[in-house]
Amino acid sequence: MYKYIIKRLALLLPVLIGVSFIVFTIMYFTPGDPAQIILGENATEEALANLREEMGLNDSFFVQYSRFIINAVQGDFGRSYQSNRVVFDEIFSRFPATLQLAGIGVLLSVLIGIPVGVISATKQYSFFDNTTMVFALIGVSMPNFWQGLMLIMLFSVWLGILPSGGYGDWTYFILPAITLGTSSAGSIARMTRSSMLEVIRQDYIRTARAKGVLEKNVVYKHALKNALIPIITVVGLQFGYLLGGAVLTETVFSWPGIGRLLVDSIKQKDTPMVQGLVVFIAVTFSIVNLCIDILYSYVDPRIKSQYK
Amino acid sequence: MECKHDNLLQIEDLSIQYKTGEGIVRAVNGVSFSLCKGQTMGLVGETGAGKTTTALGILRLIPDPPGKIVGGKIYFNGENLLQKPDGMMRLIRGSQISMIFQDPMTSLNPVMTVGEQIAEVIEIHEALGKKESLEKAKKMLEMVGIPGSRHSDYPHQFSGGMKQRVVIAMALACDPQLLIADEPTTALDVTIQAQVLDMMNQLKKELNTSMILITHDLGVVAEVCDTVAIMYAGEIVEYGSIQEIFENPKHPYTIGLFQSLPSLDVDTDRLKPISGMMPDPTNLPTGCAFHPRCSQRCEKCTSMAPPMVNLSEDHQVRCFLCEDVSEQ
Amino acid sequence: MKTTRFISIALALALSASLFTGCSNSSSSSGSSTGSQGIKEEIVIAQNSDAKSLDLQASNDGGSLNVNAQIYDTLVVKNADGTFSPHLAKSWEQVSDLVWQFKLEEGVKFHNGEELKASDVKFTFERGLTSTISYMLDFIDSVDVVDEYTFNLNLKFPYAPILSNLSYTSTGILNEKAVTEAGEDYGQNPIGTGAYMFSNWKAGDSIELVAFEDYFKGAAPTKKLKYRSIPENTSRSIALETGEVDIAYDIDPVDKETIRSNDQLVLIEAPSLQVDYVGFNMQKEPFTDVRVRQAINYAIDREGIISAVLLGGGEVATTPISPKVTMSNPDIVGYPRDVEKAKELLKEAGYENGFQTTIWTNDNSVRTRIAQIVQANLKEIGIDVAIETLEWSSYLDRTSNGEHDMFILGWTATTGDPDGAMYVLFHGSSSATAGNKFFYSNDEVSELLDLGRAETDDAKRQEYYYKAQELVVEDAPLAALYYANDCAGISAKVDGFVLSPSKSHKLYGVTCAI
Repeated sequence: MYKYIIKRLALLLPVLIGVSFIVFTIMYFTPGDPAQIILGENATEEALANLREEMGLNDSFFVQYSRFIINAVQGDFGRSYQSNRVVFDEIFSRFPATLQLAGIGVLLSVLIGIPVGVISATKQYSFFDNTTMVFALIGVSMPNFWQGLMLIMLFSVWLGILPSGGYGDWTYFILPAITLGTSSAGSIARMTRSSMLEVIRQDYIRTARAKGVLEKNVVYKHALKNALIPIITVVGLQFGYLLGGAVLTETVFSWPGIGRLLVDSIKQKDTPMVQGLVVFIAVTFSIVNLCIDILYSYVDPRIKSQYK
Repeated sequence: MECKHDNLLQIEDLSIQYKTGEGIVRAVNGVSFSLCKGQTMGLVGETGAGKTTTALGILRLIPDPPGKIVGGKIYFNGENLLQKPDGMMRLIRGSQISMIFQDPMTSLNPVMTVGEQIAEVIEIHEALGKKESLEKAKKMLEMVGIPGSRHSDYPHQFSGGMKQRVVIAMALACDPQLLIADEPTTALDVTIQAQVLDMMNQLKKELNTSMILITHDLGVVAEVCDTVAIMYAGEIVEYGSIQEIFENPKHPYTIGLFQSLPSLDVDTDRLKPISGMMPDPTNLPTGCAFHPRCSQRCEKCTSMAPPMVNLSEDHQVRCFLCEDVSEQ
Repeated sequence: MKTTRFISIALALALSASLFTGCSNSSSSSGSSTGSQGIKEEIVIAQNSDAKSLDLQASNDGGSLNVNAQIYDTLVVKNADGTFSPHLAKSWEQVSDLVWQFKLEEGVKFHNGEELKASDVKFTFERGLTSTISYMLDFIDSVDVVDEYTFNLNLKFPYAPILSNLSYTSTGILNEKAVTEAGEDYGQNPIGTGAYMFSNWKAGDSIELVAFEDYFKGAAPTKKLKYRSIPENTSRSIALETGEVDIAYDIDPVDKETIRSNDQLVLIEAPSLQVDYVGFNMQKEPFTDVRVRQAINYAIDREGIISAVLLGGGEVATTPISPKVTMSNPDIVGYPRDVEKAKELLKEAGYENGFQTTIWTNDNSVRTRIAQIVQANLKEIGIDVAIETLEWSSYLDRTSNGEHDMFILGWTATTGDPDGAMYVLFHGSSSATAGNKFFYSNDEVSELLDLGRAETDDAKRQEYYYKAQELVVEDAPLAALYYANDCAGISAKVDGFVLSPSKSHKLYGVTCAI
């Protein structure tokens, strides 16, 4: 098992190289002059030329890229063009907010989605099933920022019991987490339901019943454990995706996460920041994927054998 | 039929239907038979005859919706199972009546060890804790010829034949009075078949378990069973002891079955199948269900359903026996 | 299961709540604690972006300026009537054509306890000349320290607007020791002489400042300031309504009425130093012809734009300088809407049947709406305009390269001085990158601007600039659209808040009742 983990971590390297090369190339060829952005509309030609020279923007593509790689390997992604903060300091100062929101959002979606999906599957076509599936569809289709705004209207403006945005104590987490959680919950509920429906039709479920197993154990002990594998995939991917920052939710709730940071950095052609963020997100996503794969092996023993 | 001791199982007029989009599937229609303690009955018929449904009906495992037991009585040890509350029925399953299914590859839960699965049924029905249940499970494994140390292995680590043995161990763990085996060897190689059947026979004798063996293989019936019932289109068309049915079949369908078997003695170019196909269960023929395919039918077969007739103490047939003089 | 039901009820309520427009009640305020004399200890301000850097010379975006305006002080301040008052500099004198001498106030302390000396000023300006805000200090050739509190500014050329520039937030004074010690990280550890000191910065979320007890004008009554970054316009207004913030900048036009009609809030609107316009690339046909440019000027419905897009928050522009800028020419009539005249001019220029062209804008919602109205207006005179929306940095880049036909942009004369309002836009030597994206050059105008820049006599200066404005309007390198109003929302309990036209609002002396 450990060999497998190490192998996977080693595979990260080519991924990172590929990702950084693509990002660098895109940033390089996108129109927009970082020097202009920094100096603003009032800048003189001379000032711009000087700044470009200083920033090394006049060097060829390969020179710039090599410089980047050499520094990156030493863990130095440079400083942001905008704030002049060390890139990774900036990322790590904003990442906790994203991590917390992603974690709570996913937790909420799992706590809602899986039980709803299980019950819908066991009571297929019942009133519960039909209504919750409609809500799930709404949750998945409803745009996050709209839902966020509605929640703010209700709880902050009308009822005045929750803050309308920002980052602070636990009360600040509630609305953004609900916004994120309910849309994920929708897709997890649907996934759980279809996975459960498939599993419930399997022969070994019939065997369990023929053994006289309590129906609730049939559902949770026998069926759900088997149904979990695709669900874990979905949950894991959601989490990995959210770790890249949920831009719309972050914007509506003024949440200081890395999603907004990435979008702003791209708009400002803050190349070191964009590179640092993309590499960071690629790493976290890969690690999340690795964790999912390891989790599989605990849930499904057939997969564990493959890792040996 | 009379039993030496008691009737373990007596089924009277059991009917089971499925409501589907295409219509009502009349899967089991007025089935009656009985089983004595220690006896093995073979339930024979083609695919779709209603054998599995009957078996599931006994255990009340018919999925509802869309299926439903619409009539009849199932007496087990004198009590009508169809009147029992669900909770009581659950306690009977796995402990007094056990069932094993056709395909061992899919009958076991892939994410639980075989030991856990066997121990589960023990824990539910016997007043034993987790550890003791597992110990007993290991013993059951030994009984079916699998080393007890393999209790922590998962189903995918066993071959087909060994999986079926696990299934059997699971079914017999609580010493049931009745074991229903639905085509237990159909999915296995011929050589393994023999092994498994031998083992079942042996266990049966050791534990004095009664068995209903569902199969379409008359050869297996001959080896293992005491009585046999032939099912067609949801009905039992002939029923009796092995000797009677094998040596003296009366129903045209039964005769057709025997004739369609390849024989080692006779040299033939072609096999003799029964012409026609099993009828559509949503649209059964009028009168006798077999009449469209029957070479010996007469006028009344098309309009009247033949009743079950006792030809002797251990031979019943559902047929007007048009060519037979002794019909009433 | 219970959770889902709760969620669905909440959602249903939220959905029905959305049917009601205009929420009135504002609820209890956030956790600001009590202070002395019945005023709040902390005032919370919401702005539309986080500061980029608190290094005064490394950033000139709104978010940074608002905060830096509290941390740093300038040498002089500009009054509402256009005159200048001493601030860090207690007196000054123009010693010769190219030399100005300043005397500093004595005993002014920086936040780190150091005293303000002339050496700090020299350090500040020399550093500034190679920084992001160099354009503000470009007129300076060198700084000489005469004694501890006296220094000379040696100019490159006679520069009349010198005091306007030195009153602008970005030219505030840094502490040499603090900057050199902090090195690259100075942007997160600013030291100034201002009424408020830096306390804490939660990246992307908020910046906290505390009142500087040794402020040379006396410690501020409000002890703490918190600047929150709330980029979404509606969210910002909502935070104001719920009482989570006391002041909110840059209110979106659609939220103005909500704030106005809320008796717990006050909407503050004031004309700004900004003019928004449609510009022409005079290098490309048919914009080479002045008649075409004038025709378009006549065709645009400026009132319509102000009422539809700004919801009334602006004034029709006649001259390309906002009236808040000194020496803005009030006699200029501009181009009142006249579709017939426009068609006539087009015909004269030989484009009776109109032509096809494009108008560029960046992805700003106000500007895209303006583009649509202009498109409709020009259709009436036969000009087919296709709208192209570009992302900001790309927009700046490509207009600097002269790839555009027409474009929409705005210009803020941050110093409030006509030189700052006109030179970069209209002087023949000014490049497109700097601001002259019209590629405009009129020798007479250029000469007037040069003269205006050097002339110290106000009356003469005014003549030059009035004439220059007349010529520019006639040449029509652009169609000035409107002067937008600056707009902020404050709690009714806030006292002493004044909107500064240069958009870096100082909060010294502002209090908020509990």
